[in-house]
Amino acid sequence: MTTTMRRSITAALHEVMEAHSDAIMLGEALDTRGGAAEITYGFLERYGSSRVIETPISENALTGMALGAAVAGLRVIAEIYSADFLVCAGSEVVNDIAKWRYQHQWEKPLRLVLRMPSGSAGRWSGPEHTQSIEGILNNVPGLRVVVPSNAADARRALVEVVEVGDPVIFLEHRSLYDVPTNREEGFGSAPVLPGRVVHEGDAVTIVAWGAMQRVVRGATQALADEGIFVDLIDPVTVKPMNHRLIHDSVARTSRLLVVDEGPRTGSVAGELIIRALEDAPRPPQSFRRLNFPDVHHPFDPRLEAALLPSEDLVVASVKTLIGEPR
Amino acid sequence: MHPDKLIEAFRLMLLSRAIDETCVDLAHRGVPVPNYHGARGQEAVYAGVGVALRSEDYLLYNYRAFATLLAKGVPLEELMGDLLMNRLGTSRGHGGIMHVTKPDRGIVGRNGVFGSKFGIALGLAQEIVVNRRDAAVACMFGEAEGNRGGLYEAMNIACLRQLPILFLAENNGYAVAAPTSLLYSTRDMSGQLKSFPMPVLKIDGNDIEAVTTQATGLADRARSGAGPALLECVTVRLDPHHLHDDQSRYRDSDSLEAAWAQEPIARAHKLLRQLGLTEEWLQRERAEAKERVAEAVKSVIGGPAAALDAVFSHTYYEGREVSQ
Repeated sequence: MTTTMRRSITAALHEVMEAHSDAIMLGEALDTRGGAAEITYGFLERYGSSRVIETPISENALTGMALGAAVAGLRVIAEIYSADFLVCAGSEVVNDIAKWRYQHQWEKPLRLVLRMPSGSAGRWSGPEHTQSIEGILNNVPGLRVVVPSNAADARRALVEVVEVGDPVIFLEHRSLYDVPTNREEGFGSAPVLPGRVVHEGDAVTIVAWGAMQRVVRGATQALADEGIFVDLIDPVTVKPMNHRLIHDSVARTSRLLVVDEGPRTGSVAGELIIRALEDAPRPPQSFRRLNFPDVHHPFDPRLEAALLPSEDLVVASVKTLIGEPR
Repeated sequence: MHPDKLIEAFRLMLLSRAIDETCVDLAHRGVPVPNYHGARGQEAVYAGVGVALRSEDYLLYNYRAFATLLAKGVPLEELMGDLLMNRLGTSRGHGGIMHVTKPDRGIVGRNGVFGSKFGIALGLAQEIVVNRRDAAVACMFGEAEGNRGGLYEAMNIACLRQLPILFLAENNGYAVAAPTSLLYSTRDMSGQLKSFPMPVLKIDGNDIEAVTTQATGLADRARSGAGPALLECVTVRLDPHHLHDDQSRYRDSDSLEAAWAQEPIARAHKLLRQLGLTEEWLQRERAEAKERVAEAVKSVIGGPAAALDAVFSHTYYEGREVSQ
């Protein structure tokens, strides 16, 4: 049985809306076109207009509304039309949502999920409809950032983030929406949010999430054909990162490669590597990161492809790391 | 209006004034009163709104609205703890007067940056709608905040969805140092909001009877499901924006003198005299307010400072171990 991330997110939203009468959804064009990714068709009719709220294109009001409803005790899943537009509501996210618990010494859970398409689909989308914003968000205490890499994880992760009690930015990678995925792929019964080792090996530890996890999985096949087996980690939660999962793996491999679609400077990849060097009981002896360079995504998908981390680059980087002494 | 309501409002105004006098006195004696902004001159707005609200209503307050916070049920001692920003305040020294929080009395807190309050009001109102509660949201804002675009987004959505929100525009004449006439194309706060399909009223915000009557009526209207409304209360800030502001640089003394002649407590005093209350009674009330504030300060001054541990334990719900 196969499904897609698009369908599994719809299923997760139904699961939350059916299980909790205090759950609400809001977003732009949520009903009239099923939201940004045609995921929410029919919800308004099914759950009613007090729980499913289609808003105008008003990111400040929409994001603030999500916070207000969450502090009032509701479970809130708000859709931002594109991760690139989250910065329209930058103050709401950075100054209000992220700081609310601290500044008010808030004791109760804040069940607030902002879900949105993010990353590049390589479809002439230009630099404002392609960004990976994990690096921007990584510098904001109080937020959680979750980036599933396949349909099965996306479904489970979305149900889990509603209950986590902290504001969560849930990034749905555009290139993954329609990739067919085996329903059984994923975590079994364990929670998905802490991440896991997807593929075991002793040559190199590779960390990748979202679309880059898929790129790396392709590369691991090619590497396995050459007898090179990597320890592949899908953290799922990018912030706060489960560093222990990475450090345990690095203790076995002593080599670390992080593949991150975001721009290099200030990237999550850089933070993971420095953290492994600083804190791991057995720090990596060699390390690399693959990032988008510090430039903007071109409209032309051929140019974009030349800049994105690719399977070939992953294979080459692994070989370079192996060539360096442990 | 029932005289009891006016008396309640008058007492709140007196407490607010006593808080101001106390904070200024403390500051002059070298006691830090972080982020204190005075309410003198604007007490009728805050007290009138305060008596119009019920404990089940939500309040998104203005940081000068001592009277409204007290009316909603924040204990005077805790409010003074917030002004002195120690652990005896509602946010235990981490939010102070800027982030007073009393969720069980409908005070969920306050945004720290002007302009994002309006979206929050929508979400609070939506909870009232989802749970079919008989309640309203009071959303207070001044000129500075009212210039942010979020207001227009939120008013639009509030009208589209007929949400139970009372927008309270307090026009005290200045956004810090800039006069209202420089900031609003209609020279006031409500003029340019009149095209929204909701009641838009502009009243004398120094008239306690007018504020109480209109705020009560519009809050009742919102609770009944008739949708949002805007009430502009025209008032005058008598003091500088805050303790470190020199208002002589942007205000002339003549206009301040005229403003003092219209100040709301003296007007309320006169009104209550006309209603038959004695001068002796009114003077006793004034003295009592001062005593209550003095007692409250005594009980919280020197309270323990904010705890460092709370910075870590209140970044994430699960506490310290997940703080990166």
